[in-house]
Amino acid sequence: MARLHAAAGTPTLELEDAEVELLRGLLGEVADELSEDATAGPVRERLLPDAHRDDPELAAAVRDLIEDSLREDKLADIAAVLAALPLGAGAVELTEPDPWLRALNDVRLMLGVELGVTEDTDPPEGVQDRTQLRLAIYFWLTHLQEGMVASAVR
Amino acid sequence: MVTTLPDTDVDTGESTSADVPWITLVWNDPVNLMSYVTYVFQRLFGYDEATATKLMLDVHHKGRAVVSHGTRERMEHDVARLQAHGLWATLQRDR
Repeated sequence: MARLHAAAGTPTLELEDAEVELLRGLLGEVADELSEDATAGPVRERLLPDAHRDDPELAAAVRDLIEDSLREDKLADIAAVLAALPLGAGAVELTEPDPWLRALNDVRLMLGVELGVTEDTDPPEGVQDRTQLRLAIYFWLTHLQEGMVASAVR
Repeated sequence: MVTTLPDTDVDTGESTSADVPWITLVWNDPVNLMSYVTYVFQRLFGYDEATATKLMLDVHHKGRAVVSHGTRERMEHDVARLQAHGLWATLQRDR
């Protein structure tokens, strides 16, 4: 199980082999959602939302201005985390926590939309199918992100 | 308190669109962590922890909060930065 060492100095994230693979896969999924060729869907709408709730003209105008750089920033965060991840089981120093926080948050947003997460959603009792597995992963990332925020504000 | 009124009224009574300030809103969503939202408000706007926490709680309890105001250009910038952090941010004219 991933462990975040944050007691002193730079926080260090210790990952198992399977966790590294899992993170690579999930970050790749987000990158696919952000790709310009991808079909627009609810996940993409959450990652790159309209900048106005009920004025489509204004939302489209703002999208023209900000979407390309927003997409590039998100892909740059993903690339930074992928580059920092160890090749197998290993530890990574979180010298720059913000790309990690943003990239893991985007993974959680993707899973949240996919699974229909609400504020009342509980972790799965067991892992029998893909949905329960994805939900377990969501809560694993929630825990990881909580720890990272706590170590970043220290 | 003494208030000195100017002799001439310079208010033309007209209001151009450039005079109307814009606001950036952040909306509640079930995924973003309370601690993360507070952290983002501090990082992006330089708010102290108490201010950032109050704004986060407004988002959480009231469904949304105004996190910045200014020109439309400035708000577009803020929306972009908030969305880069995964927060659900929109802008609108303040009225």
